[in-house]
Amino acid sequence: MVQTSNGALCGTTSEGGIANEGTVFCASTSGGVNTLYDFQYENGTDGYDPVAPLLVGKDGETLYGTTIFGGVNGGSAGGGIVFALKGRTMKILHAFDNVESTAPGTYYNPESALIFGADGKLYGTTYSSGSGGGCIFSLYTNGTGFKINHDFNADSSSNAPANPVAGLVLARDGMMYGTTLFGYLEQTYGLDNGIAYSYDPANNRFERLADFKGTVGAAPRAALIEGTDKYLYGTASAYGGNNPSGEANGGSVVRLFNPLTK
Amino acid sequence: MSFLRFTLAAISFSALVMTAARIPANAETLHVVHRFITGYASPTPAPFGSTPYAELLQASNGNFYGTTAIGGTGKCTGGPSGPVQGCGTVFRMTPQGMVTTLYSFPFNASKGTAPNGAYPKAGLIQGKDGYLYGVASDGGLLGCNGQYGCGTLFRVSTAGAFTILHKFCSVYVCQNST
Repeated sequence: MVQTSNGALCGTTSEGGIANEGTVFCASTSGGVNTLYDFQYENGTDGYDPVAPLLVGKDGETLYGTTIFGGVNGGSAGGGIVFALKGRTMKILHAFDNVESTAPGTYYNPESALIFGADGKLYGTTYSSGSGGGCIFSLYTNGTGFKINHDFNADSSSNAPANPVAGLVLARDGMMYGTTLFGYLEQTYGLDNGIAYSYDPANNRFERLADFKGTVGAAPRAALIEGTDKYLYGTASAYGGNNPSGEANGGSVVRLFNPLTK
Repeated sequence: MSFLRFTLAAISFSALVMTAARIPANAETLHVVHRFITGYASPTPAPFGSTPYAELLQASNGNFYGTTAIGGTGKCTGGPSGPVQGCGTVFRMTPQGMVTTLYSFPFNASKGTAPNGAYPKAGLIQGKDGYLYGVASDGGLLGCNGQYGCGTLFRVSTAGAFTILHKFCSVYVCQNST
């Protein structure tokens, strides 16, 4: 959830609403919930099934978000949308490609929250794409300037970072940081564990930073955050124990180096 | 036994955190700050949280707060005949890496329900009033695709006082599960 300038707590539900295709809601801090928007892909352009948190615009009011599915490129098989919701007025900023596409250069299924870049653009990730690995994308808040900043299939090695469930964080060093669900094969755990990366929006440079080894944790699903100590903190949803069959394998909290001293 | 191991692990990682300032720059390495016990660890259920899906929140008091999708003392099961895995938790982690379970989503064994929510997969936010707010993806009112319900909206103080704010309901009739 997010809190708008008037104090409302706003989020999404992946089910429910008029078509049972998900909603955007805002609640008061005492719990009264208002549905602001009901997703209905049947109208031809709408998305459905939002799973990511929202982002509050600079005006303190507009809510920016994504849906995994829907949009003009296929209806129920559409690859999701980026939307802006002001009050109850919905504006679709971008529609991702049809989820059945296997063509390179097609991208779909955003699962993460958007963030603002220093350039004022919205930045986000898609979990999947025609060639399988998802992407980092950006666009302006009026829907123009859509760009694929990084294609996770650019690296064709077997340990290629792929499929970000998590979104990005803009750190104080100007870099963006994130994780992918897959990208580090580890035989001991029989897992494809995921990695942490940086993306430099100023120079369009992607860098693999660290691998989620099973003893550290695997399958990161959450965005990293920057602590007040300037370290990056994240979670791994699985493993993290000293051996693969031990009990301490319920995931972990991890810390990454200080970006400002890098 | 698992509690003992957990405690020892927490102590050793606390020590690790104390040395963190000496990690050289360019050490592009992930360091474990806290390890969660597997949700279905023996003895079940693990009293601690397990399987964090969500991003952390660093609150204004400097502590980190988060959710775990399973684990805790609520005896939710993995499916109708699955093992006890816990209904999920809200936890606090100090900057030194010490983790405390602030809230375990409870399970009503006689009704087979999770009235306050279950399986939180989203992170917390800190409201302007200082409280932490979150949603649970399951539990609450019965009637959606969730194992135990449609999910809930809750508030928790930084000290762990839990208040249920809303129980979500789909377009279909929801049954009161409390």
